[in-house]
Amino acid sequence: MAAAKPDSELVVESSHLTKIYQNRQIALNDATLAVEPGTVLGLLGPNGAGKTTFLRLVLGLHRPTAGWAKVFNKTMTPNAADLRRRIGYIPTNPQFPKGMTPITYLDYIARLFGMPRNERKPRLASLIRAVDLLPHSGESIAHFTPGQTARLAVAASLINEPDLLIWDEPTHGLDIEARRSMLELIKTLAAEKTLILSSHNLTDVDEVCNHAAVLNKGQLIFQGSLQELKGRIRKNHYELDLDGDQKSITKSLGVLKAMKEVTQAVLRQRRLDLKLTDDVANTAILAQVFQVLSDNKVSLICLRSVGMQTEQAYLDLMEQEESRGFTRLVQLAEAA
Amino acid sequence: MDAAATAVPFRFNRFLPYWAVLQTDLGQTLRSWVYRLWLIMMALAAVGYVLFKLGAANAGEYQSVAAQSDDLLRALAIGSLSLISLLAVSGISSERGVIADSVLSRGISRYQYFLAKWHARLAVVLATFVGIAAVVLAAYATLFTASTNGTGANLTFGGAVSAIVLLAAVLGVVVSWGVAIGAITNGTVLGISIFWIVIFGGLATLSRMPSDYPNLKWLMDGLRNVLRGGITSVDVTQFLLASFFLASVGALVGMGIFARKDV
Repeated sequence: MAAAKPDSELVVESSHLTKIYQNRQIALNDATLAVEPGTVLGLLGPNGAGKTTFLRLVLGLHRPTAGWAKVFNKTMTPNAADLRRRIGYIPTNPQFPKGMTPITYLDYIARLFGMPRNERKPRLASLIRAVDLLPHSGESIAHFTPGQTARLAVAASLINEPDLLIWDEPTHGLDIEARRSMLELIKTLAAEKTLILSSHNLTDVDEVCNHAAVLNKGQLIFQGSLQELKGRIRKNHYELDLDGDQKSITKSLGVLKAMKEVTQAVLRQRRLDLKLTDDVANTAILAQVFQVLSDNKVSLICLRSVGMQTEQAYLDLMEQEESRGFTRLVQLAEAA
Repeated sequence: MDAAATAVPFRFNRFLPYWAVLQTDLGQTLRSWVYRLWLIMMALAAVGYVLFKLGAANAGEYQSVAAQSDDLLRALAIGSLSLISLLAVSGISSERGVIADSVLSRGISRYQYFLAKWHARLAVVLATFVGIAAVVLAAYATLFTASTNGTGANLTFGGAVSAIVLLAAVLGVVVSWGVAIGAITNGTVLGISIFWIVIFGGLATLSRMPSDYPNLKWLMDGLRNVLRGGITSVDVTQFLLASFFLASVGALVGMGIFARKDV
């Protein structure tokens, strides 16, 4: 994503995008965002943050109350069928018309994209095979499991060879195997397409996305690379799983608390939560910590760096946002 | 899951999305319980009424065929209104939400979607009504002419065709406004409520038009005369043009608002 890239490079661009439903609910507030080709954007936020509203505005299913959304440098409208021909969309809980089989459904979707018979028939056959629905190709999709439904939705979103994929909660309701399979597919597709994924599962986002946008209460509070998001997190925060005599562990804790480089040391059973100062190299402090544990005959089972995952970065961001919402508003007013 | 197949440059057919929705909606409407109920209701009413009148004729109670078929056609058209309104209004409103997402997020414009739904519902309702009305009138003409000393002679072929066409035109207006209201409103129940308000409001307005202006009351009062062939081609043309105008206005209003509406 970029703030000031030339228009020709952008796949999705929104400016001051705002959606207010019936003058009662502000679903999206002044969201300005740009997505470059090749980006795999994770759209994050709690329930009701405005993720689905944003996606529906980008797809032209909703009209903005203010601002605009452009896709491939053209303004998206409800009648912009030519723009949607280049998009593959999966809604949160895909539902299909009754009385259809995977073949008839994909044929229907392909016709909705205006694909002639000679192109859509081989394409749908390849996709049914690719998503492992060949044994079920004659069955009614009304009786499909969530996993089969998700795979059919994936096939439907790829049938028009889209340049942009917009998938709303693609791993929602999937079992472990299906989820893994979905993530692998996203990684493969990311090599040649631009993806926007809305998800609650930050582990998934961490694994497949290279950019993130965080929405909270309709407001875009972060956009940038995943590395930038992680860069905002607290550093020098560790968890140590210990083994040994409880008395020795408690004694070690006392010594560690006395160290001026240790800003916080909390023991929960045999798990030690340790925060270190940023003033000294963490390796030097950790060496001292290990020495203390060794002196007290305490073994180390596991050492983890807390907050190096996207999840922690996200939670920190939300926490900061809650505390500085009004301050930011005042700053904006002053800047204006 | 494997990755998708290799990219192919597609030639898009602009009218295919319209045909896809039209064909799918035709199939779904014909399979719907509302349509089947309407069909059964009309068939039972027609057969029952014809048999009753046949029995009465055999017992010596003669009534002109034009009068009998006038009663039945009116009953079929007016009695069908509730189910036709449901069929028309639910065309778009029942798909609002997730299913509409899966269609409208593809390469189809709102205009094409609305037109396909409108045309599908029009085709089903009009074809069904015209078919049943034609069978009923043919049965009257055959059964009563042969069995009642020629009292069926007052039902003319031209009059029968005119009556069916005029009633179908009225239903066309009803379906058009029903589909339009279904596209504008956020739910089928609300849509049907508004539909009836519009229909009664429209009828009240039309009843205040000059007496020589073709309206529904004029048709219903004069249906017996129409069946006897007592209508000029000018009157038929005027009524059809008026119906076409009203149906088009309904469709344009519905399409215009639907094209700018959140789904």
